[in-house]
Amino acid sequence: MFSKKMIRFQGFSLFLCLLAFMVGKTFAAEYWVQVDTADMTMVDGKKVPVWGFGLDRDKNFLTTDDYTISVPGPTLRVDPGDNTLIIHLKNNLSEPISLNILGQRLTNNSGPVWTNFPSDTQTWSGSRPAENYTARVRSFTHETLPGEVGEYRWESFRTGTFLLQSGTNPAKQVQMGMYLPIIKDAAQGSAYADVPYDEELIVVFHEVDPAIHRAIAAGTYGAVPDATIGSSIGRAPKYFLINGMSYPSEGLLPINGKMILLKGARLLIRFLNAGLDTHVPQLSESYIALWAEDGNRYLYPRETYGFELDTGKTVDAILVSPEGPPWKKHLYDARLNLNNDGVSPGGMLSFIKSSLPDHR
Amino acid sequence: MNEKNKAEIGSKSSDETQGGRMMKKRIRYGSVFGVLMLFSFLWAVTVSADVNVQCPGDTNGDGISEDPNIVCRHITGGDGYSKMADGLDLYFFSFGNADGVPPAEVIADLTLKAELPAPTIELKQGQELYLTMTNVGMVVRPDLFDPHSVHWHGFPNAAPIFDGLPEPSPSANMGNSFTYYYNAVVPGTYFYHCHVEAAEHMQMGMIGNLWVTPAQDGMAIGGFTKFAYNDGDGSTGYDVAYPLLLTGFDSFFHIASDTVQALPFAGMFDEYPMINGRGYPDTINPNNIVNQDGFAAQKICSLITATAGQRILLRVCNISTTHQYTFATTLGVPMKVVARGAALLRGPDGKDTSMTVNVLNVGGGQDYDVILDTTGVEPGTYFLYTTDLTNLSNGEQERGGIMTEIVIAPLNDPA
Amino acid sequence: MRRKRMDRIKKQIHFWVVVLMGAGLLFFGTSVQGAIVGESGSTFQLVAKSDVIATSDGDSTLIWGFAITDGVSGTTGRAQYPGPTLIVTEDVTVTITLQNELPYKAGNVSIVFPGQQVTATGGVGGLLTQEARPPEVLPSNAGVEQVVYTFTPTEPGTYVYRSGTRADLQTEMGLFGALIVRPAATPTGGSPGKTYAYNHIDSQYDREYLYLMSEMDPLIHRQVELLQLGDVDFTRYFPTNWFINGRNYPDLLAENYVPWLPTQPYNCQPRMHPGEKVLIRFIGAGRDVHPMHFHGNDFETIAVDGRLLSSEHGAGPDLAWQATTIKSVPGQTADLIWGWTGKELGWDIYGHSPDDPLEPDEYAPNHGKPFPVVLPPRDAVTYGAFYSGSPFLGGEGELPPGHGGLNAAGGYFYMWHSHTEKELTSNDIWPGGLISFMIVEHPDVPID
Repeated sequence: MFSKKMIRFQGFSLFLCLLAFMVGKTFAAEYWVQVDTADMTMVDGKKVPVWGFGLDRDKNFLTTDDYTISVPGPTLRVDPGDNTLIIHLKNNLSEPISLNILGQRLTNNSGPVWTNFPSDTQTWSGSRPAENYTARVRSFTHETLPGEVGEYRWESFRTGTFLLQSGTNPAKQVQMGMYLPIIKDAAQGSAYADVPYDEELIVVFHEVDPAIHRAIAAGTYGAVPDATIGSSIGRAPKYFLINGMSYPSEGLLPINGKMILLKGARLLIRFLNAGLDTHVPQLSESYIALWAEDGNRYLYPRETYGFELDTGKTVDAILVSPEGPPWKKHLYDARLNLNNDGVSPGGMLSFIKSSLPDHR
Repeated sequence: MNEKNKAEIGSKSSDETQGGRMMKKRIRYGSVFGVLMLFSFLWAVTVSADVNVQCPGDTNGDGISEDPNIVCRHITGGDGYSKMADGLDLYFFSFGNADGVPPAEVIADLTLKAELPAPTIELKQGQELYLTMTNVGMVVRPDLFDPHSVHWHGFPNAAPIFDGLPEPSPSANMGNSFTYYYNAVVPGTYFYHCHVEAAEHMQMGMIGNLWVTPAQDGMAIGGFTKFAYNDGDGSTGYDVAYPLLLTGFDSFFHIASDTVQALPFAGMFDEYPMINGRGYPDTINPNNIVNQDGFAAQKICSLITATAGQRILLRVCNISTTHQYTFATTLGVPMKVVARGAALLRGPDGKDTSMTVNVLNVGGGQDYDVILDTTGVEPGTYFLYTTDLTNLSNGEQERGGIMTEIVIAPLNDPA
Repeated sequence: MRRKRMDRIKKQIHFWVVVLMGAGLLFFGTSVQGAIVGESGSTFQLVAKSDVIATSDGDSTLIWGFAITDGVSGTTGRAQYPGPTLIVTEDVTVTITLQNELPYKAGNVSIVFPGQQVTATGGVGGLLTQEARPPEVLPSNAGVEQVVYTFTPTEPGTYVYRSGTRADLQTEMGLFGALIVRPAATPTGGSPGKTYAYNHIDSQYDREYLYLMSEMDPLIHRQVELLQLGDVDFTRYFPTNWFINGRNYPDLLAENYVPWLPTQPYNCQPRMHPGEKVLIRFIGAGRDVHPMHFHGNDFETIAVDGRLLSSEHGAGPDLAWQATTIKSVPGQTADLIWGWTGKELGWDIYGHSPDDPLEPDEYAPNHGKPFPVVLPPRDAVTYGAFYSGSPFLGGEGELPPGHGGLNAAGGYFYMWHSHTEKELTSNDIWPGGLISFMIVEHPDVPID
């Protein structure tokens, strides 16, 4: 039951909305995101330290432990009607962080930030110090220092599937796990103009080199005294993941949960490569139509059963369900990263299923 | 034999090497130089050496043709030292610049002066290139007697004699020159490199930028007067252009070469990824990078500058012997790939097959023309960098490698 | 005189015809019209076996490969690397029976056919498809276990097949091959005498060649040979051997089915005349990307993964793109059309004088134009093994003593090679690996 107070309050907020609308205020998607360390359990039970994103549950950063870190981070959405994305970022790490979305313009960028590598005792923001050709960029965009909260705004947010990553020392922070998918549809149920879909599946490829993660967590990575690993040039991943899991994780078998795909249903598969190596997503037994790349709709779709997915790239594809349930189609990395720390079978192997409806 | 149409093979100044059928034709410089060459060599050669520049229409010996349609260039094939962005000095092979240097002085002056990358060659569509390559030898490795060659990568309908592939052609021995001829009828972004013992010479760095501007340049189409291709509609028009030659050095391989060790082909792995011969932050340094001997071996700065709203053309190629590289920019605008392999991305009946991407992978031997339209980009500094993040390294040093900066100036910047 | 040169060429041609005809008896399965050799039909019996291949550094390496059982005699040959090229026809059902004779520790074996709708029966269910078990695990009276894969290819084109069991190891060991689907009928507007890759006249070609790319880490093969399969660790994968159609350079220059490479039947030796169209069926059978660079001219990519690059069905390859370098993507295929005419070089490639007659497809504006530079004398240069001594097509010239004279017909050699040049070695030996040569022969030189 609504009290008179509530009705009056609702009336007032309706008035405010109308006012905002008339003033031409932007419609925004707004998120409160925490960045923190975590331990990620690999499919073989071994734990690897990671840095990742988690959504703050009460959206105010006031309660501690009010978030769960995941790698990849949670998928963020910008509604078709939103033209702005705002992220409030809380940094629980002991080094600065920032945000970067490949293909989107950060509107309130007050960075980049350069430092006097390798000591990093001096920083410059906005532009490279004059006549200084030894300073190195640390962050592509303005930084959020340890313990602080930063705000990142993207106006005129473009339609498509994108990868949000840390913009700070990406070889280190992105590798540690700071990435998540961010999606804006053209319209409800339509990924791009004339690309309608009935169901959606997000597939993120990534890898883990535990030795580098442990060195980063221990502070012995990079241009630091007592470094055990100076750079990632010798990276050799031991785990190969899709959506944070490796075969035979249940979450990959199937990867699309209890989806019921009737004959002719259009499944939109959003592929993202958040890793540091090229992968080749391949479906056995099926062709898909590729409709977009990096959030840019193709002029003409391309029919294929697999394709090269380079680092940082996103590809949107439509799989048309060939028949009613049940059916199963395997989705794996044709580069055959199919092991878990050398143990086979494992790695980037999953299947997509059209499930029969549950009968209760 | 109709001698007018035989390939003429020159003879040595100091001895008769061919039978009477062959015409002796010297375009320049008498036999004195041949004798001088003999004595200027520090290592044993069994035949006399010959530096010979062929440049039709060059009447005063400055290496420039009076015919505006003929471009003459002279490069040397040899060795030198480079400096990586973490300070490491690495021995390398490449081509040096001998434009206009009197042939008698080439070997005396230009050994150990290889440049990384090699001198850029730029032509206009329709010009003819007479490219003389003189093998000045590898001074640090007097035990090596490798020939060198020049391969114009992507030249359409090439003939082996000028293709630079040593297997089906002659390639210049130490102390000798070979003049390559190219009729540059197809505009586009190419590159060139030595093809002798390709795995070794290319790893060692014998690579350079090369492009041909289109006949359409100069016409006003769509607000531009400079174009990457003869697009007819201005779609490849640009305001500023930058070459981005991606490659890498395997320091172990270079050190083995420097110290006369067996070359580790099987273990080859580029850990010094570079743009135009430098790793970040040297990529943005407007000064030459000077090597351990004080020679400016790395002359090309990769800093990209433009005014807000301008269109930037990137001529990108990858010549790494071990890696493919993927790159992106933080500009927030997509990259429009208008051509690949020096061919406009248009289907056989004219359909637009250009690619709009945020991230582009360049495999070895691939070249792309990428247009960045900076309309709406706020003035400031942005980055072009590899999303294969492990290659943001100078060997064991982080925050380096394949990265450069894009400075967008405001529209009416008084500076 | 030009006539003297032509007489010399004709004598050479006569010589080569005699040589080839004499040698023809040894060359069963010799290509006609530069067609790809393999097994044609619709029913195939494959047996997975282990055997040994030779690499060009002089080593021999254990492989697992598919052997083909002869339909008539019932005898099974040796395993081959790569597996047999299966040549089938559009809309005709294909039936492939698979048996497992791999060493017991190899486990089961299976085949997946990306891009095809496959029904698999028999054997046991595996991760991706039905698998055939090794004989050691079967009950003693069970006989041989066979898995039957059936599919009906609905589109012509170039495809690949690979093992679906422990795919990383079994692909590394060699269990893959090419699948070629020929069009069922001549496309609309086409001529019955011509060959087409797809159902469109713009896929016409004169000769076809297979480029199936793979690589190997010999340490893994040693571990398998020593039955240490549990120690195989793909996170440490580091290939040092690379193959085109199962051979390194220069072994790939030898003929198809050459007796001294009994488990590596396929070669890679493309040849053509100026003006012809060559179809390259380009397959990534392994796990790494290889950027193949084609000297001599651009190719046109008309299809990828068995589908024409088309704006809409029936439009043909109207989205084809040109380049000189293309990456082979693991598990994926591409079809390229390559041609060469030597046009616009600015000089006469035959060394004609202006009153000499034109060759077929010769670029007339360059006819009779003189050679533009003076070539250095013989001792100023190193003559490559495939240099004829003359810069002209079909020409010949004086060669230095000790030169092998490996290009007596004066063809134009173009290296088609990986541009990740490390891959041009075989186990640390240069040259090796992914080097091949396309030879453009003078129009009068017979190819086949």
